[in-house]
Amino acid sequence: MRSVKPRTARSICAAAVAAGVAITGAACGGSSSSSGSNTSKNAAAAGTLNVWIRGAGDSAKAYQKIFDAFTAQTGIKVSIGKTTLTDFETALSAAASAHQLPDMVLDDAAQMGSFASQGIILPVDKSTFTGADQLTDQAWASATDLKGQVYAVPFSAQANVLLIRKDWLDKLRLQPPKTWADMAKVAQAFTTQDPDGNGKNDTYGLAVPGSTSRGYTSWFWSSFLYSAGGDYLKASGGKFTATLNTPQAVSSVQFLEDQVCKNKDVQPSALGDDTTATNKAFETGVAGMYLTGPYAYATMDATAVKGKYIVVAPPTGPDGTAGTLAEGTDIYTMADSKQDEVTKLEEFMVTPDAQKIGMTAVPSATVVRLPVNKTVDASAVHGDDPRWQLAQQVYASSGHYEYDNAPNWTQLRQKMSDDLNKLLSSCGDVQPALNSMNSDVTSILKQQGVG
Amino acid sequence: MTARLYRSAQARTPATADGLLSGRRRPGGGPPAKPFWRRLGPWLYLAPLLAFIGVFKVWPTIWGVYLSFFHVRPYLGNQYVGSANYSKLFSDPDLRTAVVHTLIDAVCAVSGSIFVGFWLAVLLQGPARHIRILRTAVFLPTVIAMVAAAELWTTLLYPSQYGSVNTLLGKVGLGPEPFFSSPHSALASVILMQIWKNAPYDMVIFVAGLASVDREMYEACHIDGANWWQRLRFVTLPSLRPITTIVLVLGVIRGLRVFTDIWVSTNGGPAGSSESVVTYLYRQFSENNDTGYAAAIGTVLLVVTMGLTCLMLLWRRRGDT
Amino acid sequence: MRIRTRAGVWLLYALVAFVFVYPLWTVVATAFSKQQAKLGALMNVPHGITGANVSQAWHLGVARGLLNSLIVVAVGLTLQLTVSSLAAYALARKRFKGAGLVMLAILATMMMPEEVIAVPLFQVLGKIHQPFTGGTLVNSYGGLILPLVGWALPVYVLTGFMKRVPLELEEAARIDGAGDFRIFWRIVLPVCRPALGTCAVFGFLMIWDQYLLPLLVSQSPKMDTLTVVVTSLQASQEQGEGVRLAAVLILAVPGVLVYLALQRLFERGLLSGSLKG
Repeated sequence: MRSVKPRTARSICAAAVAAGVAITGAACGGSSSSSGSNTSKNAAAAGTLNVWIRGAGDSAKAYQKIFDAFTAQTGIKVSIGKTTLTDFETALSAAASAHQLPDMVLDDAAQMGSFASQGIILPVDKSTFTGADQLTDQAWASATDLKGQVYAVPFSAQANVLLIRKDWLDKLRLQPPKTWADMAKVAQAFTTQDPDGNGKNDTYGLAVPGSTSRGYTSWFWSSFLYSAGGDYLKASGGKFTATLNTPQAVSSVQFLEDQVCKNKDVQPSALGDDTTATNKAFETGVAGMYLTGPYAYATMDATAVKGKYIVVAPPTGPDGTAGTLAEGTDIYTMADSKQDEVTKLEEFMVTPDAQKIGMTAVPSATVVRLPVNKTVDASAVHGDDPRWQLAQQVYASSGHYEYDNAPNWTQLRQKMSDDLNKLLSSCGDVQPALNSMNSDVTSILKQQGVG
Repeated sequence: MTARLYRSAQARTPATADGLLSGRRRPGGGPPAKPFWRRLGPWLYLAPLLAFIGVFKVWPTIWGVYLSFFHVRPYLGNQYVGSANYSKLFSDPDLRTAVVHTLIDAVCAVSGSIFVGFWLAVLLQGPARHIRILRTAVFLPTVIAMVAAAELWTTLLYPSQYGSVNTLLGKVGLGPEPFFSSPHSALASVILMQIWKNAPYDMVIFVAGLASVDREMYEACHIDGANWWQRLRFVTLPSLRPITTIVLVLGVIRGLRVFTDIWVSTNGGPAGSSESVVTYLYRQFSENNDTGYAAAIGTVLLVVTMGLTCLMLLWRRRGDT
Repeated sequence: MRIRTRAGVWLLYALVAFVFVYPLWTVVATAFSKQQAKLGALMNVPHGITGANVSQAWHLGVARGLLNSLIVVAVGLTLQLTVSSLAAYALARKRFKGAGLVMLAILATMMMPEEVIAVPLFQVLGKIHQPFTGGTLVNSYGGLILPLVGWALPVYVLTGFMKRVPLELEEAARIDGAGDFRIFWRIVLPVCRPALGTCAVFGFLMIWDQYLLPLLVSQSPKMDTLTVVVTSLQASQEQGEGVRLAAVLILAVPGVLVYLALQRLFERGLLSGSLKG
């Protein structure tokens, strides 16, 4: 074997050389470029804006309607590229690493800091952006980094509200919960008192997307953290301090742990479920309460649960604080893109007309959940649906965004989700777990250069 | 990325290459000198294959090793960091956990498949028609795409009491078990799925192995009055030992790179409880945007895999002589 | 006693069939069931037969994904078998310096974890330009297919097999004045049919199973292969279990068909190629 090794190396080299000769000769027509820095767009799509969308199913159809309207108005063509919910960022990272980025990306607001710190998105000049003043300050703030630079155009916003089974409440003669204590009581009743009347012990109180994938555990916990009066971080002078071991944070985690471990009133698969699976738990009558965004109205109304649930504001925390997770979809201008045309498209996408198309054109995919444009009234667009009015109120009065402007919020969220999921599945002590989470987050913030 | 099926198949074939390496030559001495074009001939036949391997395997591998020395920032300029990615790698507790999971998964899934595959072979050997039909049917899990198998198993093992397996457990008064959704059972569930998918393949190998066991040995046993178990214990098992060892060792080496199985069933979760080395690598790449670190992990995995394979070949050749 | 043993054996048969085959049946039953399955539940028998799930899945990208997967597997497999049998011919039937080392190099690539090189491979694809369009291999059939062509497994199986083709056959043809390539094409290849069958099954499954490569290479719905479509459907919120399982079914069926069609060749080649080679 020892005598074979150097010869092996030589023959591998020979193979590589042979390959190199063959590829320049035959496979690539001799136009192979060796520098990684030049951007190569497909010639066929030269004048067309290439847009990637984090979404699936019908949402591409809804975006297509907006783009069609844009093309009709400006003559600029738009083609929809990668469209997926699974592994979207994996594909995007790969595209970035090979300098094959699209012109524009529609993705969660939470990606903003990460994209900006990689240099793969271009800043937005709010002062020259047509219609900038029509957008809510809250939405703009979520697209602004620590130094005040705007890095994305908000396209859609939302805040979590509580969906609850009206028929179950009625059957058990209960009122919709207003506080955490009410919520625990209702959850317990849904779990133990057979609200669907099928004689089986097969219902649960709360639908919880507790999977660690994409950081859902922490994402879901946010609303509880905010309504307990807590927060993830404190920002000052371009730096962040973790505030995850505060009494507020502890009480919010304790509440969740009680539901999962003590009362066992969440769906049994909760800690492995993403939002898709959790939606199904609510749709199919496995769980009776679901804290989620208003986009779920369309999803739910397409299933058997339609008309059987009502929507209320999220229950308030122990000291009466109303707080809930706000989030959004942002439009990102990618590096190396046709910036002028992209800006035109962005300006179009936040106009009242485009926002309305996004809200209603494809009923099964409300790609604009709450409009970012102040002049659009969500409930009016949705045929005076009071559920949308409620969502808009909740967003404006108690919606908190996560720290989308941290250099890599998704990394932090992932870490917190892992820690939290571990705690909830082992039913351990909350305070020590949060102390260690706090130090985990502190060290990641240091790594990211903002700690 | 691809089926365990062909991985295990690959694992079994190097026996072929071995003959070549040990310097065996076809009979009949060749002429001392050949004209140039005759010497070129073999390389012309090899050229297309070597070209494809060179461009799509060797080049990316070298490129990956190169990237591992950088903090990769495609739009801000790469920074040379020397061996920093490598020193980080040896002190990364999450990576260490992933390595442990990967080893557990590789050893358990491969030996579990061999165990189940062996007993399937014992049960389903023979030329009878009903047995052949059943054997064909049992083989089906190995030919469906891993993505399809993972979708099927996440549904079968659905953690509520409606999940198929939990319904069964419920009938005998057990469960519901959380399977993929609990950190305590996620990895075990992945292993269960892998055994289901790979055991039938091992079955085919063992069916062939059983058919090649010396008939005379069996007959001798019969005359000696050995019972079924003794025959199995003293004749069948010893004669299957060489093939089993190869299947096991190469299967485990291959198991070190487990990815698709985990990525599409648990995505490494919950809370990293089923994270393997390669899924961890992809997390570094896509969630932490640390391409350089991912490349360093990949390089080390590459070196370890190659090293183990060399050791294995060396050990096999020792065994032969 | 004997009857009891036989009954026991049949019981074991039933158990084995239940564990390995029944789950596949439940996918079929649920996919064609009119009544939607409850979350996480699979059906033993369809409750009312409908093609609606399949047709809904079909319109959600499965049709395009299936077409792309079929194109990729047809072209890829043809190239893979061609390139491998050419190389195997040289390795098995020619004497030349370095043959053993070439084999070792090919062996080395077999143990190379391809998932690990997927990202650098993608960057390489971004550097190779196509002859006519001028675009790179990213988001093209070339990018989906070409990386899968050079695969060591068929080279081994075929080399092992060709070594056992009797030399006399070849020599007789040579005396008749047949050229080198003619001998390969008319004499050696036809004898290797069982091995080619094995390689075709393995190659088909290997290409059909690809997930990470198409995930990265395909950058538009037009280029998505079936595996990418199926995983994306799983995450989409509007569809019921039936639609998802219908897509899974469509993904699973071609592999089963290819295996059943080539089963004889596959097993014959497999046993002679890998165990005795």
